[in-house]
Amino acid sequence: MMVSVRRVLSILFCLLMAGLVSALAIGYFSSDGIQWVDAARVGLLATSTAWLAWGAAYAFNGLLSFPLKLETPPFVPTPTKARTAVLVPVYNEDPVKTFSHVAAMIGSLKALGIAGRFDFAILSDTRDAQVAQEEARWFERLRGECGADAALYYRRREMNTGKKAGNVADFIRTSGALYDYLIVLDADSLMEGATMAEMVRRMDADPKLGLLQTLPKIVHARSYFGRAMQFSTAFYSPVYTRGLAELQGDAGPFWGHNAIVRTRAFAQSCGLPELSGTPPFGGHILSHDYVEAALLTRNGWTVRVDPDLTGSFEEGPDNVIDFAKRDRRWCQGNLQHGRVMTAPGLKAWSRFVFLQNIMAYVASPLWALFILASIAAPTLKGVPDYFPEPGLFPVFPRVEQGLALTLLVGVFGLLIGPKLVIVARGALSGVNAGFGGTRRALLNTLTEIATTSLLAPIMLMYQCRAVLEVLSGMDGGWPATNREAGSVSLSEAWAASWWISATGLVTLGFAFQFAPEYVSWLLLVAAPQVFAPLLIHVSSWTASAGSRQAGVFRTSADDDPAPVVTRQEAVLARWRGGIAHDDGAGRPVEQGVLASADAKR
Amino acid sequence: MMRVLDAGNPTPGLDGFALPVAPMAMPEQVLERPRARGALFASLLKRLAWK
Repeated sequence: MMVSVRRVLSILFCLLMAGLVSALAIGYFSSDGIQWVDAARVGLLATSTAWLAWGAAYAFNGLLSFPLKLETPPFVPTPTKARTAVLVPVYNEDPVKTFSHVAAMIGSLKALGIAGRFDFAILSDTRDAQVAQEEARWFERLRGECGADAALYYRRREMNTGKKAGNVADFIRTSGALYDYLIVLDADSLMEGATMAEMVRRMDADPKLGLLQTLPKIVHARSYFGRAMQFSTAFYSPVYTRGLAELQGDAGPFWGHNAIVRTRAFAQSCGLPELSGTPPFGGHILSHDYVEAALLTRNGWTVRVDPDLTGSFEEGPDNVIDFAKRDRRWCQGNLQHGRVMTAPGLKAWSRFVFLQNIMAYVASPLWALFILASIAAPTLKGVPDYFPEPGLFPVFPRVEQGLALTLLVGVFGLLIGPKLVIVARGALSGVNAGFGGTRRALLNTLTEIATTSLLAPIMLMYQCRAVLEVLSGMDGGWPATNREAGSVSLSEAWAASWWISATGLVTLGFAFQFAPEYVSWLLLVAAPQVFAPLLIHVSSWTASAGSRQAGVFRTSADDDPAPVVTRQEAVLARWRGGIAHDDGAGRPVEQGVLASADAKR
Repeated sequence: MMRVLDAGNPTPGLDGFALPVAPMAMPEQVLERPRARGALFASLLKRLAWK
């Protein structure tokens, strides 16, 4: 189906959903007369619903886009004259871990006999001198083990101007002319050698292709929270990403890593200026990847995401607090897109993508405003008597309850409906076999829905805070992600989320006082907020061996881990085992060094 | 292609692994339009000053 037809149908679907929800809401809110506060509530609900429907539209496009049984032939390296640099930008990360990833990727390429086609460049922006020393020490170790197989470079910038985008640009300005393509990674990225070779083959095959993005799957998740995300990216994301690919056409996404770029196209199109003014809206562009994708498209290059490019991996945060910290950074970057979306010459779809990026964070305050308006509405309008004596509980008119329930089912349906359809499709296509069978996949989907439903009201508060901070001019800086952070103690969770508990309690208190008919509905949101510290603490627990054996959040990563992942784990275990080395490079990096670097961040 | 890795060199310093030099230009892109209000205000001021 033509991309434009898909886009129009998807937008119409969102408008239809927003219209239906508005009609139900008008019926529900107007039982005691309709006033300006109801109009505001309907507007907020319609906008939020349209946003939810847009997410569902991605899923439906993905579900309808490809044959049920998709056979992906194994990637076979083909001859090429292209030279490719694999860029590994690092910023105060643990070098032992990062370099074990590099060693595994070189090993994977070597096994295919194509390691000589790829040069690896560690591009350090590390600010902490001690961590930099460790990087130098461990680079020696990496060179000692892999130097004979692939060219290895290490460079540390004195100033980390432009952060990661500046780091990559600095490489291009120094060495770009040597390479046809650049594979851009993150410190926690892992890719199979065959996948890297296939990416080069696809770039060779399409001279207009400026950037090819893979869908990285999460590996090495340990906590319940991390494993829920790992299951989510393995089970749902391929379908959502296929939908994204179908809707975006030639103006696809760039997620900043696990992608290959045509060096000439990137250099010609992606030199990012500093925006006028000061952070958070001015200064360096934080969420640079989407901007770079838009600029490539502006210059006539194709940007594509190929979800069938398996063998691409990354790690994710293992607890809600680290997730929220990363989200704070992304929030500032995405809101900054408001400055970029009016850039001259951009394609209309690129501007729409920027709007989506902004909406991804503004949606939370809109939901919060809807809740506040709903609590305030009875006071502003005057409340009918919902508490007839005697009786402990509020009594709703029948029609209203039915409408409210339909409204709730409709809104939640947009969230969970696509996930259930993905399970059904997986049963027909055989995909569920990789997730322990359909029964297990369905159970895990329901568990994941329950987990995200409990954590979503907490994330809503973190996102509201992030948006308010950015709008009030607070620069969140650029802290590195703590991908190896373990579980969160109850006191740490309390320190990070007491204000969410307090907000939940106050919200419920106001609701009891001013809008008792909404209390039962509000409990869905406010109860998880009240128990936020406990939920953050429990979800960060390391998943027990028993739960893994029982198949909780089971993915193919549990039963049949990818060779490059196994290889990386073996290298890391060997290196952390502290195998003696004359220059001391076998010593594991002291956690104190990294902790001190964390503190400076 | 310049390869800085030399397996025969027993203890090269990190300087030996510096990036190869093959520069490629990366011109800065235009992302911001000139501020319309500012430009309008400036032109109005100029007109008033002339009068």
